Amino acid sequence: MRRLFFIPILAVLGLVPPRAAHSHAEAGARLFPATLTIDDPAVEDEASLPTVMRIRNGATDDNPANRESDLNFEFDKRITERLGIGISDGYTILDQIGDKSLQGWRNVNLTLKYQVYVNEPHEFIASVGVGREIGGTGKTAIGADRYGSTTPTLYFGKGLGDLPIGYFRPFAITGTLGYQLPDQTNAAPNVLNTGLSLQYSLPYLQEQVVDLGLPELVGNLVPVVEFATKNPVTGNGGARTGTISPGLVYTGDTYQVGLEAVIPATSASNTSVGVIGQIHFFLGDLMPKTLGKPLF
Amino acid sequence: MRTISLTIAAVLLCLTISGHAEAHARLKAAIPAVGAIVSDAPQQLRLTFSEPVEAGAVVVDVGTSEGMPVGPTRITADPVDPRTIIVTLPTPLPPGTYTVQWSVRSEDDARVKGGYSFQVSR
Repeated sequence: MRRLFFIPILAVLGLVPPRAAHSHAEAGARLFPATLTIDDPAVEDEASLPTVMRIRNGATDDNPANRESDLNFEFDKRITERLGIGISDGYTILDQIGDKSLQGWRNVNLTLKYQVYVNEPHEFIASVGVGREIGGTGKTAIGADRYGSTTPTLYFGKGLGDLPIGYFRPFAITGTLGYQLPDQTNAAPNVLNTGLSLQYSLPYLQEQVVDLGLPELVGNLVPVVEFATKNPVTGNGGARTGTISPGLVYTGDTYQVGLEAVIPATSASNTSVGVIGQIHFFLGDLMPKTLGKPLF
Repeated sequence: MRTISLTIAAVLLCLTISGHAEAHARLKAAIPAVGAIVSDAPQQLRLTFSEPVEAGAVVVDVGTSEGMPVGPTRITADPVDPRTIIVTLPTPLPPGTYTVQWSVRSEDDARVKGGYSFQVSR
């Protein structure tokens, strides 16, 4: 029942009088699509409904090997033009090899993000934020911690469209750098979380560089590869884990659909190639007069 | 699963009662095309967007590769296609490279912008 807090939040925000809408993560002519394994640098009105991931985890000292399925939900809302909040949660199913399946909700996560700087001619965005994992709101059997954590984070995005590099102009890079601080320092280490994405925007190629007459299905694609790592930096927090996720994002006017492979980057990560998919809605385009505009 | 279903239903309800979607206009096609090399000197440019646009909501600046403004003299809507605006230039463009900077103001006052270049060959 506690998950029903999503419903009154959506209802209240939908009734608040709107201001100017802003539909995508934009810096000048550059649209940064939502990435699947790392957060994008912009503050927007958007929702990922859902993000689905399936990976295989190896056995540990405490747990058998398992196939993990995650169903995640995220909703981001602008308070002002540059300040936004986000809420995310997910449901996990662990099919344990040789043991019973476990399933349950993970801890709720809140994010506060502020877009510090935008340089439109140079297609650059920089933001700062803080994430808060609320401990004890998920099921410990599937790995949700009883204690919470706080993660201050830096975000950036840079398109290469301002450079005289011809067909390389559609490239863009986004990144995140977060430092996770657990509430109970004797139970978990501090963790340095890093993320990087490399994107090539075919819509940008068609609109800004050269119109190749690509069919719409192809011309709206953004090939992307994402890199995400978790690096314990204090205590005996275990090994570094990470993933490399190449895939495609189809960017429509009001939504996008993404599909990526999830490849383990370290021996301590998932043991085989998994998959992640997402349906993402741009609320600024879908609901410009209600959820798609800042509150103030 | 009941909770998941209720949440999804609430989202869909919000989507339904909020009114129609209004995606912001993006440039879909142009004549001369983005990055094209043309031999016939154009005196008109045609920009087709993803959504219907009003001529009064569109700003188009045409200039040479050296940054000298060329025009336009007039921006009008295509009477046949509401997604297309026509930019009439003062004179046919002589050979050279030209840049087009466009911006479109949508109903919610958000402004989408972009730019491209094309060449007129000798």
